[in-house]
Amino acid sequence: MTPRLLRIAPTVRHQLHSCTTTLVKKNKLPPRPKLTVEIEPELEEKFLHGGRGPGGQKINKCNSKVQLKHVPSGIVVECQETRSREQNRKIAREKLALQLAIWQNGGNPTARQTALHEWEKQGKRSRERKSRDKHDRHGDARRQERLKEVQEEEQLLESLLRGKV
Amino acid sequence: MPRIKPSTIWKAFSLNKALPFLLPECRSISAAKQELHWIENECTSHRQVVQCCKLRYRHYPLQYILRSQPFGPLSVKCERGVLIPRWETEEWTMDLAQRLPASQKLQILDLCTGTGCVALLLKHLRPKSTVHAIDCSPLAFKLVSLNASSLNIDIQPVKLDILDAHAPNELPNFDIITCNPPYIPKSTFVKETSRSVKLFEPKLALIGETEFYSNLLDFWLQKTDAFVYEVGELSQCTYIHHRIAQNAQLSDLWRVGFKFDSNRQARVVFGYKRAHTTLNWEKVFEGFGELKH
Repeated sequence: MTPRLLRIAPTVRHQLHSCTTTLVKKNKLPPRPKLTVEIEPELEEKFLHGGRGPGGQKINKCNSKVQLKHVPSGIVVECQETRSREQNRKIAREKLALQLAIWQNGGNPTARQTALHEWEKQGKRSRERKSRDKHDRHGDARRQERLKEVQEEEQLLESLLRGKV
Repeated sequence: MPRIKPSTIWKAFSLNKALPFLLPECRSISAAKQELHWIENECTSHRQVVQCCKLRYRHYPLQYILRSQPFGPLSVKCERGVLIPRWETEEWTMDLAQRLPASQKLQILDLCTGTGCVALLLKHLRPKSTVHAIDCSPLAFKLVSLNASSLNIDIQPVKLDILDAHAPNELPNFDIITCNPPYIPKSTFVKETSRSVKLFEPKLALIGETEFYSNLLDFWLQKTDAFVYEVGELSQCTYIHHRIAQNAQLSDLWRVGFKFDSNRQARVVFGYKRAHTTLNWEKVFEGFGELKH
């Protein structure tokens, strides 16, 4: 029989290669989705200041909620995390950008979210591995110690027996 | 105002022992939690947090407790005896500042400046302009100077009573005058003003009817090309509108408009000269509010 060389098709080889997991790095995640300037006219912004009535100098409420609505998709986000209206507006826009990216992705999480999820799983896996390694190492040490003790005992016994004889 | 349910108070207590103190002002647990979070961020010890919450229970304004209030991109210092900047003021000031041309050296005057928030924000967003800030209260004058130096914004604070007929003579001419005068009528002050404002904010900066608006028309209008005055109600807007419309000389020269805030309340009355100005004010105020005259 003539020896045959096993040849792997290039596509299969590529798949084989991709089987090895590529690690996600926290500082190299895909960027957060951002709102573009073109989308601004499609937004409806509302400020809810907790209370009807005259306002102005008559009340001094410090919580200002920003509600942002993207009209074509009907997505609504709210923000009242900070005391600053400016800051709340900024955070609301970030939240909306994320929701919009998910919506445009057909309800699936964004690349950044999947990468983050992968990063978390990766961290968990590595923690488990580390703990397993540590457990093994400690087990080894314990076993060695016990062996040593047994040997010492045996030696002691032997010496005692010899002494008697 | 509906009373707070005992069950809500117990629930707040189980979450945090200081939380029930915040309920009378915040009315809901989520709002109280939010406020507690802000207080905790500023305080160093647990005892201090509880003390602050107890002050809040007595309707002491949060802005005086934390000694600051965000105003646009700035954080303005607040102290007892000076009016706390409101979001309505922030809204129109931001809008106005973005309309003013950045390249021109404008002369801006801010009357009844209080903490100096309007003057500081205008100078911050339009650094080429010169901004004077006037207030008659010595506490406010001190606070404006303090705010200007701590934020590193160069404005000129002046201590002057603007209702004094001789006051405008001491100053040069300006391109625009802004003002947030006291505008709560004495008759509605007790009934409509919230407890925290009534008890702890200076009445000097709150109670006023039309004296500041008539003062504007009598004395300050000759010194400026445009004005932006905050108001409490529509009647104060129409007061200025009618007085300008009825005066033949003013009515030819000035245009007047009203601006409503995002709570759909009449908030600002503004006006500008039709001609003989260094700036095309018509273009600046386009879309700022409804023109009436």
